[in-house]
Amino acid sequence: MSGAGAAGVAAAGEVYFAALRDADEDAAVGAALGLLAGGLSVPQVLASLVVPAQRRVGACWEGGRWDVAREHAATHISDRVVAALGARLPEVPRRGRVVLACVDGEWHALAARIVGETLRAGGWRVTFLGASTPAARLGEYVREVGPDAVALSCSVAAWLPTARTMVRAARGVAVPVLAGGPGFGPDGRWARALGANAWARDAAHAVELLGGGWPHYAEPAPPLAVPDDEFERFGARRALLAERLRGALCGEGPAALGEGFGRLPGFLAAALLVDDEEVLVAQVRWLAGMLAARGVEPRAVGAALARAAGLLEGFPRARRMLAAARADVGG
Amino acid sequence: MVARPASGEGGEAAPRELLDALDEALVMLDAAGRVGGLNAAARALLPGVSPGSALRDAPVPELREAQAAGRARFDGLYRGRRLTGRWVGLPSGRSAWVVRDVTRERAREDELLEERRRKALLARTGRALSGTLHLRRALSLAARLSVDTLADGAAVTLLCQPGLAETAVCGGEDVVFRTGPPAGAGTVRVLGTGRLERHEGVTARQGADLCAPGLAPPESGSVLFVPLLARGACLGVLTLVRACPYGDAELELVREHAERIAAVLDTASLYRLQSVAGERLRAALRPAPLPEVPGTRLGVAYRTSGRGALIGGDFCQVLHSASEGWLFAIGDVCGEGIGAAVYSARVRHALETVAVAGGPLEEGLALLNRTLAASGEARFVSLVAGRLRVRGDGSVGVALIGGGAPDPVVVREGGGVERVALGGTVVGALPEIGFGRAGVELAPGDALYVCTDGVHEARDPQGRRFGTARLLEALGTCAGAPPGAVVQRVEQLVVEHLDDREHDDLALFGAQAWPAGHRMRGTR
Repeated sequence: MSGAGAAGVAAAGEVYFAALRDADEDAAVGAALGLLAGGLSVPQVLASLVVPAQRRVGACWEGGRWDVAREHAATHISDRVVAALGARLPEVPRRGRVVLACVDGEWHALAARIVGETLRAGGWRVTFLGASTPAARLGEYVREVGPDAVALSCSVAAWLPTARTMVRAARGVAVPVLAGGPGFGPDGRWARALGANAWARDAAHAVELLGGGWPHYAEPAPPLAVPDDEFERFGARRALLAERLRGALCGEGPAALGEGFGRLPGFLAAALLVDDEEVLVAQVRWLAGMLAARGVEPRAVGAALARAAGLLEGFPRARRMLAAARADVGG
Repeated sequence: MVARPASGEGGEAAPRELLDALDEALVMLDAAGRVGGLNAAARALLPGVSPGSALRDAPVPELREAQAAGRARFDGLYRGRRLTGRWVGLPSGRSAWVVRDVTRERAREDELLEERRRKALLARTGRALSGTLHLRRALSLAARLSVDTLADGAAVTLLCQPGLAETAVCGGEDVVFRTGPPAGAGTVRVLGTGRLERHEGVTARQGADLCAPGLAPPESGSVLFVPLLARGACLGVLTLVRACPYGDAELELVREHAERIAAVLDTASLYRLQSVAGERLRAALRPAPLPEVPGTRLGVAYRTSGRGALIGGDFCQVLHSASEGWLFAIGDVCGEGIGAAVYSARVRHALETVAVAGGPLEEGLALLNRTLAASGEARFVSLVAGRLRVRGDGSVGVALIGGGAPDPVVVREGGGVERVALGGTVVGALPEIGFGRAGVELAPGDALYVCTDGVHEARDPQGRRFGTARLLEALGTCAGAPPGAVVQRVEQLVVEHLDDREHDDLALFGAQAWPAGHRMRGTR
């Protein structure tokens, strides 16, 4: 049987996942190259082997079965596999150039790497700026290399404010922006709100968008439809509020709660920026699920949200959003 | 649609002299819609409308339609005049159309609209081009913008050096580049004269002669050669081709469009010279990827400070010496930016020489110290270097030499974390120094980590250091993991600790004895 049949892919998937669990680079690379030898293309191997296995890795971590170090080790092995697959792509750029970056704060670089290699397989010249690219560096780079597109990866909605800065940096020099990753919301709705020219649901979609009808240049990003100055005021006091929030949580809640809520101010800022409570609601829902796997009750989450709201005198929109999140988890 | 108001009642007909004295044209209609009379202005403005005729036969289509549909207003064009009319109801079912000649007013409005359109167009050219420093992108955008606004096809030719031009041709969808001697008789001529040329009714053959290859005007279309002038010189030529001719008024717009293009191309050309030099420099200073060392897994992470423009003073090297085997060095040059990067490159080159020359590592480092100290430069480098010896049983012996850098850390596969006290004096400041020495044994799965000062010194917005304790704690959670993943994780923790604050250059290096049970590279 060909190694590339559906059964072959499934079998390779098991071998691959075991290799990630054991941080066994050679076994993981071997599984990927086996599918390549069986006739699959590099984008197909990425989409059918690496992406599903990484979803399982994420689920293992969220479910509390893996600690963060193991998750990092597994992801690192997938990184190496993507590099090994990329090294087998012929260097024949026949399209334009794409500058690819993870938004500032975004450390999950693997998805961007997968998109990068898929774009390269589609004939694009890709420059990957790596995890957590500072916005200023992106701006410098884009000016210098004059790409046809900037592709921004964001897996966590908390980084939307920096994503906005990066969208402005790219469009400020007329380069259109392609956004990708779950951080931009269901169907990429926040990508549009921030001024990205398009949102890709996966790597293949990114190739499709860039290949057909991609704008040759972009106008500067339009101003945001924000009803008030809460985002700016919140941003100015964020460090202080985060500190007080941590204090309130660590004092009264279980330790896991304080840790889990550490990033909540970032999500609240993002929710204020795109004026959509769903940014916060979805994150709190996810957090409550993860904390439940670690023995924290939804009621404790609700109480923590109420304490957080108590700290936000003078931020009515933020308080409404916290109330919505609280109602959603039933706390 | 404006509904017709009800007719007024009563009133007497105005004297004919009064009606003739009006500037507005009056067309009187009887109850059956037949033209009853015209005042002097109407006779002049609407010579095709005669008393006794039915208005539905009037030669102004918009008036006929308005009358038939019962509308109270019309705007129309008749014999080159732009007309506007309104219907007035009169007693006994009679009515009248009051018509005005608005040719002049409308022309002024059109002029204003046209002016606004031109401003918007030029503003767009400016916005799209202004931030672009990349020359090819600027050429491509200039050609594209011209096609989007002013032409059916466009070429932008830029003279790079005498006899060599770069041309971007946009004939619709794609932009094609061509590098070579300037081509097309018109292009070459305008490059020389710096004066605009307009050609009308151009045949295919003439077009091919005149224009750069790849750009063809439509049959009997127009070609415009616009010089791109900046700082008093003609940098290049913008060629526009179009089916309909270019009017004099439009030429002004084209010139302004070309001025903007020229300014951007001028800047981008200057920038290209600089950025080529800058990129070569950076490529020489940028750290090389680590080689694969059999029996080990290695990992490295760098993060240059935000102020250092992509290069920094931290470095990490893995080298092979014929006599000593595999060597590594990780260090931190004091200061940051280009100066530190250049100094760091000197250190790296000297270390390469040490590896090639062979002999004990410590002797090589002592030589490096004397060389740097003698150079008189007010900089120094703190470093940790070591020799990796992979044994047959899979363990790795590391002989460490310290030159004033933070202590290395050993992470055992089972979870233990040990600091290795190393010490030593920084290199390059004093002619004679003492190095720290230590030996470390790594069993399979054990790993050694070394990082530069930037990790320990990273401060959060409250000014708290990341510190050694957090580093040890973070490394402790990564026992047995691949060093590539571990250094990334520590980098992430440090940057999150910084929370947007500025930081020094950071570098982290990890070397692990290949974990048991996994296939080893180079031993298959």
